[in-house]
Amino acid sequence: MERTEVVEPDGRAGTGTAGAERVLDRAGWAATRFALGALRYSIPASANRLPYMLGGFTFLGLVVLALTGVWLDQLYNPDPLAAHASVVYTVTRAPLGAWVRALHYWAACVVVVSVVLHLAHVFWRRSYVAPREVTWWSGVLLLVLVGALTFTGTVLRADQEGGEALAHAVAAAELLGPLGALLSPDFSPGTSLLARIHNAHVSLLPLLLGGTIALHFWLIRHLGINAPASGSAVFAEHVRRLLGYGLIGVAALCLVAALLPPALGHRAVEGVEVTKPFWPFLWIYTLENTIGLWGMIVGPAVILGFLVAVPLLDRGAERPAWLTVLAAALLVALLGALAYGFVAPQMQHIGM
Amino acid sequence: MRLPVLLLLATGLVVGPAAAFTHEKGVIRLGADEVAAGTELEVRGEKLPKRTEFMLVLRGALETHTLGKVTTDTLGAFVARVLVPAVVQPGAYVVRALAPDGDESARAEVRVLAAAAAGAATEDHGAAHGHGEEAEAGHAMSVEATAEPPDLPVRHGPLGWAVILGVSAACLVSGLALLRQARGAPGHATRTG
Repeated sequence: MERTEVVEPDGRAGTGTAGAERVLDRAGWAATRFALGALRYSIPASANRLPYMLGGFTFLGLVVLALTGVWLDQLYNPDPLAAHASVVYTVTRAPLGAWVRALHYWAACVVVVSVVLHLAHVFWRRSYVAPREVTWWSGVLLLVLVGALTFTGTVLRADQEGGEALAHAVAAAELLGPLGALLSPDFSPGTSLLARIHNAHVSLLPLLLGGTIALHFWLIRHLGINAPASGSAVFAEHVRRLLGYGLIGVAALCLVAALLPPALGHRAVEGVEVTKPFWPFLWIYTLENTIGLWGMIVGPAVILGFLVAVPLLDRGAERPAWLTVLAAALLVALLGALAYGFVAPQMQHIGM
Repeated sequence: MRLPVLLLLATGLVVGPAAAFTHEKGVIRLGADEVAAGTELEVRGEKLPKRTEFMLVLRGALETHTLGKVTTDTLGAFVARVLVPAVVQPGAYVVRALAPDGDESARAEVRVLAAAAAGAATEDHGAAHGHGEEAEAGHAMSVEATAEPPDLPVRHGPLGWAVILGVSAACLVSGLALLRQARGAPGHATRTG
């Protein structure tokens, strides 16, 4: 009988008969061509637990966002006079438009939650200490990029909430002076700010995100996953589990998106503040209610500054107690401000 | 030692040019605080650089419209009647006088009313509402500023539901199969503890 080499889906080479293992052989063909064997490296067995998959879930969420975003962008018109109408068209007339938009929205919510949980878990595990400082910083940059993508996505709706979000960004840019030039409508008088925000959302930010994710993955691959040593597992199995849970999550998201479509407000009326921002930004809204427009600059700057400084502040064998207390205080303040944002009175911030 | 110097240099590089090209502020006075889209607005400028051409623009966060060019006289003043384009959406805007280099030399706030609502404009148009109607994708929608979403007709239809349920089922089955594979994979996890 003719013997043929069979490469299993996970890249392991073996032997088998040509007829009996045809299916496996086909998968093996792909495994060989795509060098999937490279995924068969050893990781701690405990890394297969769910908290260690939060980063992977975030990545899968970003993939869903990219796929749905490509579809939505085919229907979007970044002209300020036509943007809202194009979103209305997407929701009311385009085939599966409302569902794809809802999937995009709910995937964004999942990504925001999972990236924050991932960051909290990594902080708890002290996975930022040497030699993983750059891994941490690249993660912080990813958080910023996810925040920027969330914000720009909100603006693109061009409804009242989006218009107010953009007006706040312009006001912040004016407060920052030359540092806020990019968000000023005067930066490029020939192109509307909405068109530039759209450009950032669909090209600039995704490019930066892709590059940073590549760096993040590279560092994790070569510096290893910081999980308790409880035996060893194979990374390919980790990916398989991750994809398994991820796809079940996507199935749930598909149904949630069909049953709970996100609202789309009326077309924005300039210079009016009657809405609150998208929920991930409600903590900033609370700060604005408390200390005015500077709140939307000071609040994120404090959080970001803290996150960047963490690896520099914790360089010993154990985390200093004051750093844990400070992190906990910031987290409680953040969650408190977020919760209060839901019930806070609606206020005028710009021009006050 | 190096870091403070670098920070100082960076700040200088950013702030320096901006400060160098900052114009002295002039004044713009408008003939009215409210104007209907598609009608004229009187704009008076003063305390501006003499014999200089300025671009007048109407700026909002979403939209910016060019109103026209004016040139100041020997006293640094101008008077012009500009047409507010009919396509301008209702809302609060800023009329800005831009110097030839693009910097703002003066500004004044104005509220633009919908062209259709101009005849009905009353004194109580103000603080928080713009009014008018527009047709979008065949759906008449009020543009009154409100946090309440419009009632958009979202229907998936039988084919749409078939696709949604099909994709959901495919994802669910694939996910379960992968998890089953991962649990059944021999010798992948060797625990020592």
